[in-house]
Amino acid sequence: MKINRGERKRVIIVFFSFMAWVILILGVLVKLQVFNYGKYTQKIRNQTNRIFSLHPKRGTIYDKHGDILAISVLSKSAFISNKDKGESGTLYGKIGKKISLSYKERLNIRKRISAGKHFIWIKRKLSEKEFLRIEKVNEEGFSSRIGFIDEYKRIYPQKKVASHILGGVGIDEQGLSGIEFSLDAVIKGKGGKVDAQLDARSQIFSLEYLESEIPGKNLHLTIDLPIQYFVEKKLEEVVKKYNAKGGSVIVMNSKDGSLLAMTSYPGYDPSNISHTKQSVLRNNALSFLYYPGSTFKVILASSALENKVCDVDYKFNCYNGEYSMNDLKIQDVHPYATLSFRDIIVYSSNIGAAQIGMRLGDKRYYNYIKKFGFGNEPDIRLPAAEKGIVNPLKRWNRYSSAYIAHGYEIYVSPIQMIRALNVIASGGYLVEPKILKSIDGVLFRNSKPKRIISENTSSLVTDIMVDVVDIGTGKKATLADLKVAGKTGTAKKYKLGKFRKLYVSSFGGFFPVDDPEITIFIVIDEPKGLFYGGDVAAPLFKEISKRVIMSQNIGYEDQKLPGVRI
Amino acid sequence: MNDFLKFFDKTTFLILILLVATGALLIFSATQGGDNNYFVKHLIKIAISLLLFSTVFMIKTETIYRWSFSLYIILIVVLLLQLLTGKIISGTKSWIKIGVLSIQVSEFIKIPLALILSRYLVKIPVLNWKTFIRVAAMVMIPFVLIALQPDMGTAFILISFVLFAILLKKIKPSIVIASLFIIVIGSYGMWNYMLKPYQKERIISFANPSKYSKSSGYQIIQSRIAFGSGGLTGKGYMKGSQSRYKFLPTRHTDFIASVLGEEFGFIGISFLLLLYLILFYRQFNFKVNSGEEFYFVYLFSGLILFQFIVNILMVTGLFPVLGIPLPFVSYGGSSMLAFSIGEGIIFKMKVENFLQQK
Repeated sequence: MKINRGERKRVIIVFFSFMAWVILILGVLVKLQVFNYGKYTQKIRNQTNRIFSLHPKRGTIYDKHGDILAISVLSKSAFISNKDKGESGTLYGKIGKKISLSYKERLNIRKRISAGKHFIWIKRKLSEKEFLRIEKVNEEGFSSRIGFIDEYKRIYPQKKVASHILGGVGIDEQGLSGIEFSLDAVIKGKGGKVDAQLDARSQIFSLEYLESEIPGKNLHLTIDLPIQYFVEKKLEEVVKKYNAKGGSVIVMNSKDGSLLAMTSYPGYDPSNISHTKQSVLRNNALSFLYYPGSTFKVILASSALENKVCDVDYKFNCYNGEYSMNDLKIQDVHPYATLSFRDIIVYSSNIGAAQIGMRLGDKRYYNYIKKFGFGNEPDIRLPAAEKGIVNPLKRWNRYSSAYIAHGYEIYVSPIQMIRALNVIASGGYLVEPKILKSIDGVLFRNSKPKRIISENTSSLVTDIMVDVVDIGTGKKATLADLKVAGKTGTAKKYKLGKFRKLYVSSFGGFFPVDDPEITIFIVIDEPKGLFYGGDVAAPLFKEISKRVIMSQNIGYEDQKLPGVRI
Repeated sequence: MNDFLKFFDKTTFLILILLVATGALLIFSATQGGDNNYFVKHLIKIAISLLLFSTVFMIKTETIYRWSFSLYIILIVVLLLQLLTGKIISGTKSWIKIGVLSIQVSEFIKIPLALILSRYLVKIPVLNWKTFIRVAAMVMIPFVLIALQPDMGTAFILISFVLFAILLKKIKPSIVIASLFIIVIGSYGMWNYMLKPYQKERIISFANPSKYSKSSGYQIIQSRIAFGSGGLTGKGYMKGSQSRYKFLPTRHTDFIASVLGEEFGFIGISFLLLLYLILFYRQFNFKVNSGEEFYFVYLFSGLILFQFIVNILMVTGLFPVLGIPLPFVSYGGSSMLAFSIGEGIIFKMKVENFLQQK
């Protein structure tokens, strides 16, 4: 069969007419690939490149021996990045139950998914177990995948130990409390920047470092972890035994002010700071303000002797325990007819102390109270240290000196009390307590101690304080082998315009008395049952002292024990 | 046998080999890093295609024509059975598993269809109502069966037979007007009763891809980005980020041209277009003596041309995404196997044509 000639021609026409389409295509390609090349290159950048800021490794916090108190380790953070909210939802459904999240967090993720967000954090800083569990979902070959980013996670290996000192950090490792907050600028380091390229499933396939990060500096604290741990355990026992509201203990090196231990009950786990109540986060050793009661008689005695008001054997009339003059009414727990200056402190006579205070005079007394550091927050590099309340002289009435003499009309914090008592221990110097030993190995220098009373005065007061423990109100603090100087305190709480039957019991002291090395201060807030400082706080002082002596070899200079550390 | 080698169309065969090799290279690049070893599978399919090509080449054209109608009927029956009993794989019933190979029967219907159409067209001087309806019916039966699978892409390509028949034959203008009318009505009916929502969205999104950038417009946008960022000379083999980092969808099958555009740029694409141009020119311009063979070469080459144009329009965003592979280049064995058989027939026809002239 022959073919129509016309049809043969038409075949060629058909061919060329289709080639017109090819020319159209070429035109489109020229526009796309030649003229709009820049535009599409930019589009690629927009959809693949993401600038991430890098969090540098936060500095590690060590105790004085080099044990780790806080450290940042790499952990995985999980996110979903999918343009399809249905897929995101299904994927979240698969992994949601495998990780611990609060109801609120779950609600928030659901909200973000249904809002069609492309990038959704599922959980940041997963635990190792959680990571392994949800990583498996990726292996199931579901079309959408969970993305992971490495982030540093702050870990506190000692759990609740030293919680108030350390404080804690937020989700971005920003210091929220404690030394993590106050020295944040030092330990956080400097962030870097990285240009990450993501594939269609938001998996990172290449990284380009734009700015490298500078890791934070490491801190060594003066804290002695075994002692800190012991102190915390014993304080908890005492608080529970007396059903108290709380309590604080500070153990300090008498000479340079280094804090070996500082704690307040209740503590918390710093890794769980975001779920901790504000009241628990308070570092009461620095911020609990209370009437010091009789422990303040040490400051009175020092000021009086320094000003040569009388000598230590001068006798005062103690009115058999009931003293009243116009509006001023003062009582003693144990009535005495007369007591010497020394015995007023030893047996803690309020009536006697009031008379010394009045004899000292407002102006001199006020000046010495200020010299002892009251009304000033300690320079300790920790946040939230309170100034306390010392009324200015012009607001003192005629009885103020009498009240302040036995520890009322003045609000102090435990750290202020230990700093003041340590003046006696250090032979007359005001030594600022310090918690920071070194930053990246560079020793931290404390401010220079200031002499505020003479050596003679301090040794006279030491003698009196030794008697407090030997024969006075602080007998329960007595140590078998070592002389201890101390002072008890029991103050009624003033609440809603009235003194209540609620007490703050305290004990402060130091040893060895001939060359003091350790100063300890203890406060128990609202103990029930027994409430005298000599009954509640003094035995705790004794226990802690024994432990400290054992680990620091104190008092055994000549026969050095092998270094025992538990 | 010497004559066979002498008259074998070596230039066209070389063009085909170049196209297939380009495809294999691009598939290797597009599937790098994946677990599924598409490249090896593709090589196996190339080998089978060569085998089929040579086998068909050995058979006399006469014999092939004798079998064509029975083959057409058999494949129609298979398509019908598939529709009634077939399992759905990747959203369609078009796959049949034979051993390890998955085969799309719908791709193979092209061959007997082209054969019987060519034989019919030779008998008729002009397309009047009667003859046009017959031609349309031959095409529309498999079209409907394939469209119902659903596989719009493969079905759509069959339309090219009707189109090319109309372009070649004398036809009554009233038929053209009427068929245009039927297309409008038919499209309306299909739109409302046959197309699934996702298919509709694909078609709409083609007009405004950025509005559907998160769903069906995504493919078009990513493909255009691939082309655009490829520029004049491309990013280099294996270096296309759109393809390598999986932004390009179905990059080894329907969007293989985007991979070429990204990695080899405008120059690479132009080279590919040139290859096709030479191929089609050689096929269309060949002086076949026998009428039915002339129509077969014309119709089958027309089908490949049509599929090629639609695929390129699709990947550049000028045509809705229908799931149409690029002939000889895309991954997808069935399409290549069917084309090899068709080319085997064409090559044989050419040789026989020379032998007759001698």
